Amino acid sequence: MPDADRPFASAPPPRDWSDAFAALPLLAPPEDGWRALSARLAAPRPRRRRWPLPLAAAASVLIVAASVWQWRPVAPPARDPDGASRATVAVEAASGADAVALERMRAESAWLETLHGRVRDDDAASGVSAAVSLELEARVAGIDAALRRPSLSTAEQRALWQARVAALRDATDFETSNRWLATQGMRYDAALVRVD
Amino acid sequence: MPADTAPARASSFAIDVPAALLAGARAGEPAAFEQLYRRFERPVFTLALRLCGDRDEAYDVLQETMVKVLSRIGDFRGGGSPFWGWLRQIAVNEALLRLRRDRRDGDTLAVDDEDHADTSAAPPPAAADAALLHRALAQLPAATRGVLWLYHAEGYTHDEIAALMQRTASFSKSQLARGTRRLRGLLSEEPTHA
Repeated sequence: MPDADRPFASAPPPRDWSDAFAALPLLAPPEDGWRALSARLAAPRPRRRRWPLPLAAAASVLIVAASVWQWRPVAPPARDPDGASRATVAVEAASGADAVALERMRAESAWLETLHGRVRDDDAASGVSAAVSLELEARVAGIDAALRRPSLSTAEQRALWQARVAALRDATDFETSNRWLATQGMRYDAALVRVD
Repeated sequence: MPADTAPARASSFAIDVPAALLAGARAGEPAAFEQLYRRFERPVFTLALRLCGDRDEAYDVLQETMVKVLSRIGDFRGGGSPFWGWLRQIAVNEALLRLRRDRRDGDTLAVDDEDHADTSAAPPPAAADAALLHRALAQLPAATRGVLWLYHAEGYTHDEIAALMQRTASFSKSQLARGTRRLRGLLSEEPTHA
């Protein structure tokens, strides 16, 4: 009985690929999907601890200050060229400086990522701010995709890590502002249209 | 040269949702939630499985998508756009986010000189066999399969796919051409039963 489970034996060939894909049957998820979902929806959402206003204000200022402080130029570690030729020292110093710069940007990137996760507050997000937030995260994901390209030059890596740090700083600043607005009973959307 | 859009077909998501049902869901009625879930569980699960290639992952995508849809349904304003389009966008984003998180968004077919071959030629007869087509699709790399599915099944343009996948329109076009050719090859290897 080949025709029972091999319908193409009798079915006309599809006109195009869209026809072929459209003819594929929809697939059924596991039976317990709704039960699992309704349990999640019914569960009380954990309330995040709300900071008192003065503390939130102080925290926002500290976060921004810390972000700026972290970005301060850091001198590369001292090197001891004793015994090496001048040329070797120059090459090592150049590649060493690149490595230090890259390492510094990676460290700041990781720090900002952690900070971003801590200041992000989905409870304070409106539709518009959630969209902006997702856009900023998509920017970071795009940079991550570029960083995975094989055989990137050092200059390209530096540019991408700089872009990643900048994107994360934007995202963190945005979330900090969002949280600040929320502590004052305001939302990002409303702040956009205020003129006073 | 591939066309910028696939021939127009109704997406499996294109399900009309009565205004009263949406109003019930916005009011937080569990019965309305369940009705919405039941209407869209298969389109979301199918799309997620085509993009992620794994049932467990597809199930997770379905759950996450529906949690977002139902908890943010108050954000849906419509404004001429159908509810299903909003829901589908959330599902696609959720599936692609998972690919990126698992570092599988780079799973593609290598580019070659024939990448702009015509993709509009009719598929081989074996494409009419759902089981064979399903199996052939499963053999494609995740990102390539995603491009094919978004283009042919959901009708996204190359520019839209590029934006969704954070790539370029050229990437979408070349993966479509390469993936379609690979799919044709895989199906042509199948013995015909006609």
